[in-house]
Amino acid sequence: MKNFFRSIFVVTMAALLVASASIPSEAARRAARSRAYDGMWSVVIYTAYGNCPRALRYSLRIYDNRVYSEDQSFQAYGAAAPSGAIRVTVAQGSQSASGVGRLSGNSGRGWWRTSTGECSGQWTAERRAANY
Amino acid sequence: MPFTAAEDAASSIPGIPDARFWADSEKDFNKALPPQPGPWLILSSGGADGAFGAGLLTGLTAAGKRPDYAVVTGVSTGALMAPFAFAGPHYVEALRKEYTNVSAADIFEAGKTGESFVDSWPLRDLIAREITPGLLTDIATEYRNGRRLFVVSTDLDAERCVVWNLGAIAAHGGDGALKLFRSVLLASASVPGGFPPVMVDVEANGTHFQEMHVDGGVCGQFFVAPAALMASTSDYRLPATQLYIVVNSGLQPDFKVIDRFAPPILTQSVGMAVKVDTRLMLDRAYVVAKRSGVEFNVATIPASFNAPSKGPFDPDYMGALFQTGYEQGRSATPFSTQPPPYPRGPALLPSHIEKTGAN
Repeated sequence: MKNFFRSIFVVTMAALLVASASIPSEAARRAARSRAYDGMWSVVIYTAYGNCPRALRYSLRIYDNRVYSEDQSFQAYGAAAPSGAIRVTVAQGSQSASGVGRLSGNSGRGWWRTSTGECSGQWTAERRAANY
Repeated sequence: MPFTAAEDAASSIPGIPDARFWADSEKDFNKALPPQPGPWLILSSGGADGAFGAGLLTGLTAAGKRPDYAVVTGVSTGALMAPFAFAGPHYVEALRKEYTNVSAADIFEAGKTGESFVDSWPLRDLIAREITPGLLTDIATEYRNGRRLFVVSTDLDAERCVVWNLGAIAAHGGDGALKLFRSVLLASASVPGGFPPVMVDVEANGTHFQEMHVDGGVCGQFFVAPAALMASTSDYRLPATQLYIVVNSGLQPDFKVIDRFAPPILTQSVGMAVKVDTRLMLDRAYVVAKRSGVEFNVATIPASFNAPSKGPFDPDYMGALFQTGYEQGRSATPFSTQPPPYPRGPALLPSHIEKTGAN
């Protein structure tokens, strides 16, 4: 269990906008599209390298393109672009990890690594609920 | 909806009145037992260490040393494996998969729910995949043949333990029975505070309400019979021919430097309490078996097992523990006939210090 909570520091995803073209004249559609990934996401972190748990699952929320943790035991921050490109940092105490990847529809995948390079691997995500 | 203690005491599952009984009801327990004595299999709590019991049962099957248990009881992880242990040797592959092909991501999702530190929806979905209508049909058949499958959960509202008669539930049939069967297994394995409780729909005297159920381990790490019948002051004799207890947890002290953080402090404390409770319960079961003229057998994780774990439900750790259990099951002596001895650590005080003032 100790490793489990340590690994909470460790990873996930979030969002970074990759600059993408938009259509200025369709403000409403643009707004809807830009928040296309809002909702509650379940993210599974798979360790490929390093002495970290093989697979862990986290709940993250994306709201207005921003990534949040609703569990105060760890912090998550980042953003998702309308294109689906995403980058996230998850931290607890002095430990942190970052992930990059892409969302598409109700799923996503990418890579992650700890800030120290101790562990790395892949992540997958599924949206379990739209925003509320 | 609010309800009273009297209503909860009289509550039952709508449409399946024989689905359960209070674990402290000697009358209901005796009524639920099989018509004929036979070997009883008792499966304990233990979380990921249930891989030991799964391996042991698989090894016993491979060695042809697994009888048709007249009674199978399970608590927590023991409840999760009990249906497969009960339904017959052809379910060993499902048992192996359940304990070697899963990781923490298949059991829980990190993120507080308001009721718990993590969410157990992945375990709920796993149970739904593994507990199939076909499995319930096989369990119902065995129930009609006179065998019994019991698992325990804790009714937190009542502060009482509940024994679920899963064979009777399976025999009832239908979607409602399947849903209840799955919910009971989840409840029995829902460590309070760690996992959310499971709300169970019940009725009493025409009033419908929900009871809050949590891990059966709150009531004890395994279940043989109501506590009053297990008491040293009782003359109750177990109607069994042999008692086989599978302890899915290590009983040795496990040294680790604990972080100053609430979850690891709680985890280590509960883990230690479970070991103490398990040893006391084994001692009690041994006395009752002797009193009843019933052969006593217990299998525990060997003290020599020391595979490292990289966190909860580590597949490598569970695989190694499954293999340890499997080899023990296939061995000439898979069970001990006495509870394991208490560990004797080195004395803290130097031997040259003498007591003063004695006598």
